[in-house]
Amino acid sequence: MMNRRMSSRSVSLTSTFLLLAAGGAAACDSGNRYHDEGFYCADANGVIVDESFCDANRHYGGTHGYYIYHSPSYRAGYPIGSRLPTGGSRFAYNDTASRTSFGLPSTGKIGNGTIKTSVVGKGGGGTSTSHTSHKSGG
Amino acid sequence: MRRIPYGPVREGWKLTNYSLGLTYNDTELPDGTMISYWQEGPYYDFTAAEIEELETATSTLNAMCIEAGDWMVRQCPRHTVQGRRDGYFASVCNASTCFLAKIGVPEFAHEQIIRTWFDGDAETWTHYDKDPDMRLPMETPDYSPSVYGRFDLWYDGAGSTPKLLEYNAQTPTSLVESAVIQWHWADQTNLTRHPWRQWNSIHDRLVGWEAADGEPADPGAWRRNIDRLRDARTWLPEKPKIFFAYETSETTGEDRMNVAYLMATAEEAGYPVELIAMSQIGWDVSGDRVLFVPAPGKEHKAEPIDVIFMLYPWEWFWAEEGGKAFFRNMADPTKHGTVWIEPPYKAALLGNKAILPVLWDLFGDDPERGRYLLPAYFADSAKAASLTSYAKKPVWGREGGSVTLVRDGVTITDNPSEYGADGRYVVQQLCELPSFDGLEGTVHPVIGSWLIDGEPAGMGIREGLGVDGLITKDRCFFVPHTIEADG
Repeated sequence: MMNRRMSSRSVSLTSTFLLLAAGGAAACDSGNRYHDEGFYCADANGVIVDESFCDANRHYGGTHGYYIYHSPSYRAGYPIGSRLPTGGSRFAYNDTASRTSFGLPSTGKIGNGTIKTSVVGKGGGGTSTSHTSHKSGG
Repeated sequence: MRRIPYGPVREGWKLTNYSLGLTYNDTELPDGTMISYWQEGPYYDFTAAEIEELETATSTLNAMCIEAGDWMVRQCPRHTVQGRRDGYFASVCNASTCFLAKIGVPEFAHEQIIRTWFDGDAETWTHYDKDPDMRLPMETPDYSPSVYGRFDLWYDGAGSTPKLLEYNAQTPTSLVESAVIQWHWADQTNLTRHPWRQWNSIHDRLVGWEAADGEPADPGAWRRNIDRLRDARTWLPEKPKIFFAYETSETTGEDRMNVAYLMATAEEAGYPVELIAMSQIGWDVSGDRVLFVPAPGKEHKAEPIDVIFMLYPWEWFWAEEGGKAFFRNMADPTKHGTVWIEPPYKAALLGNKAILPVLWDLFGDDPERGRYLLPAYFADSAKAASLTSYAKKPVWGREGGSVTLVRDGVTITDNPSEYGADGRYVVQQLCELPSFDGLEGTVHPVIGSWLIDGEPAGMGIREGLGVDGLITKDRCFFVPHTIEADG
């Protein structure tokens, strides 16, 4: 009777797999190259304001103290008026170089709660606003 | 087939499963409650005869699907050299002239679907088929590796006949649970003295084995496929590097671990491997090549991709920015284009639920083979109206998305999703999953029957709870099984 037809004799796993299972970084997740970064428009105190305040295409008289805050720990859906969790970074709303480096539009409005998946991914263009889980299998 | 609701509960089972790769066990429901995907305690037990019945059904279904695929590709004008000539500058495939167009496959993909389908067959898709004017040096036929697939079957044990519900031909998951987690569960709980113990040779069939105990050696799916690929593409090194890509926006880790497991089996079979993100697959416009680009701005560190497995539906892929270019790259008559595992025909022909009406049309009257099928029709056909109890499914759908079950004209459960937006649906005679009493209520198992390299290789059982669980979805449980357990 051929048992191997029906049942594996041993199921040993390579160290690559076991390390992944143990929470080790996948090859493509190494370092900070791939993570979700959340973005919000907020004032100097980190209180979320309407995203139009960070619209670099809108001309306000003089300078105003609004910033694009970002952090991998930000999640989508924080309401306007709430204070962002500590630990994020920020850059001026009209800092085109910083916007570009995150794959965001260099000018204009950035939706509060935008999540950039693979900040440097998708062949360079970056995908945006994908905070739903994207399951490819079935 | 019986369900044992009170099986052993291993101490530390969650951690054990986790360390073996089930890192995505805890599933959060929309209302915030957490459920355990793996069910520790209950299990199913089968007789050896029942397993053989499932094995026979799986082989027979696979053979029928191959004939159905043959039929499908013949319904495309690009099946012939003349058709491809006519279609070089003009569109020749539309819903009235071409079955593939009718079921929603974009025309630019048809030729490579047909080519990969016939690859490995010396007679049907020769160099002349790819290069009709014979402008390039003569090449032998190409080869398109395929390692796995999974049928979802209805089965209610001895006395019933397994029925095909659908075929997850390109991106089946629950591989880690089926191949690894339940195997170790059986090893640790030791519930049966039957030599088969569990229908699960997935791992061995992927990595192969040495001759032992009177059984001949088997190279396994990876070595068999890559060897055949190297016969066709003699320029490949003896151990070509195989890339494994998954979509990193899938954050539960399920896609990652399923791909990582397949990668581990290829590694064990002796191949250099690398796990990458779908977003790291780049397109070299000037060189017409597919590249692994570690990060934007790191194009100078890019590496050509000769062979890649991706857990990503072709029907998404070909609709995206790079889709056309990747299909053009595949068409290279010198066979230097990137080899994609699984090939595009897996999604276009076999995984497409349009195969269900095709199978019924071809084999519904066949007394031997047709018994594994349920009547199925295109939803917009006249015959569809003859069914009053049916499952309606989008031709491109996954995880039970947009499936509706209707009994005597009344909807019993549905699962709205983004799938089916193109309006292409099939209807299949309703065959409600069998019911068993569980601690939580009535449960409904569906048999996931694995094919490794075209051969039946084992099963994984998913279980839905209550009426809602009649459609198997993401939140359905995984329950292990045994063969002829004691007691």
